[in-house]
Amino acid sequence: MTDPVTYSWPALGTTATVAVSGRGIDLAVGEVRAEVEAIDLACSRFRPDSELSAVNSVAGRPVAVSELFLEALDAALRAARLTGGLVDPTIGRALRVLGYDRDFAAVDAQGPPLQVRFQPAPGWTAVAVDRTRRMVTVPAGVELDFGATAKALCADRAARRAAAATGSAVLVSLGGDIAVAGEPPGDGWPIGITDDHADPLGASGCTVTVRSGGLATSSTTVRRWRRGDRDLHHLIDPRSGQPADTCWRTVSVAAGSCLDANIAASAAVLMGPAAPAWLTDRHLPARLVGPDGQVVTVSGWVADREPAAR
Amino acid sequence: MGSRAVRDVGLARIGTTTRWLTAGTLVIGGVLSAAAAKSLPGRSSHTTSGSAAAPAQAPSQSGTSSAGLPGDDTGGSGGDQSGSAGGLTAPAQAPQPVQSAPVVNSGGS
Repeated sequence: MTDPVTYSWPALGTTATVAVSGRGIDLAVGEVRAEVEAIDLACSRFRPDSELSAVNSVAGRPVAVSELFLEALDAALRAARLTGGLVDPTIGRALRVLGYDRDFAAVDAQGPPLQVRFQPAPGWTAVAVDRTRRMVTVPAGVELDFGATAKALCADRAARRAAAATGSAVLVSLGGDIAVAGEPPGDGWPIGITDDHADPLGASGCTVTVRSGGLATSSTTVRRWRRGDRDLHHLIDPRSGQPADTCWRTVSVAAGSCLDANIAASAAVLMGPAAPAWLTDRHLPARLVGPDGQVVTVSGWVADREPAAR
Repeated sequence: MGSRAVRDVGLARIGTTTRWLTAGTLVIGGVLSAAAAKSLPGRSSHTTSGSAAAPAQAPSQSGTSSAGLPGDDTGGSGGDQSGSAGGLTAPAQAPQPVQSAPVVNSGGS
């Protein structure tokens, strides 16, 4: 087997990486770029020209949306339904009032204490969708955020599109949300499992192969900032409207798609002690890391020999 | 008109009124039900097997307790009627450990 060819660039506030086993890296990168740009224009919370910004800004009035936005919204609502509301797209306001109101690179790492009253997220059933007319309405005061689903959805779409265009096996990673398509190289795609997708390759000591579907990781160790004496992170518990207070620092899940893997990983972090059983019931292989590096694996994910590195 | 004829006319009117009342009740009931279903969307839910109260515990190696688990809400109401109603899909096979260098990392971002 020849080594896969990879190419990376900054995208969606993180890193996009395309790997191709075989010919067509340039074509694959072009296809993935097109998908990434389309999802950014549809679903970015920080672009004033995005469809999501339009939906969030009109307070209760219906907004006409594209097929892609509707697909992203459906993915977010499905995530909420399948997780009993834990992975909820109506946490947009909570993220904004906590200070995550722009591309994360531009968020001040340290700021004054928050002067806000935390509220539970309004809940995903508040979103009204007219699929026939492609109209979406969110009530006044409700702000959507697709952070738990849009990147993963994009990775799935991009991997399929690039594999179809090139005829080669393709891996697409959007900030560690990974989708693969096509006949994989050798025993599968080797993927490092880390707290932070930007860690050096091989540094974690845990590498696994994936042959199909997707692999995603959610972690409270990244996208952190501080307001007053309070540490904050981006995984919001919709029940409190605040960063999740959880017993897992990082959860990685393999699934039939990157979208499903990311939904499950996000839900597991928010779920806390109940997560291993929830994942087991769904036959989702997963690796859960506690704050001290203790590792729990379920559904056939082979256990680590040592605690996870920090 | 004889008393018998008057009685027959009265009975006929009562029958007609009863039928109209019955039909009207059904129509009004249907309209109210539809209005309630539209304006007060609900969710049905079920939890997976063995659910119980979630213990506040540190993660365990076994990871097999089935405590306080959110179930798959299959009610399909609210905004989600996308048709992608299936549960989360398991992979064809679990990730396998390997010694070779990774192509990319899966980690938080």
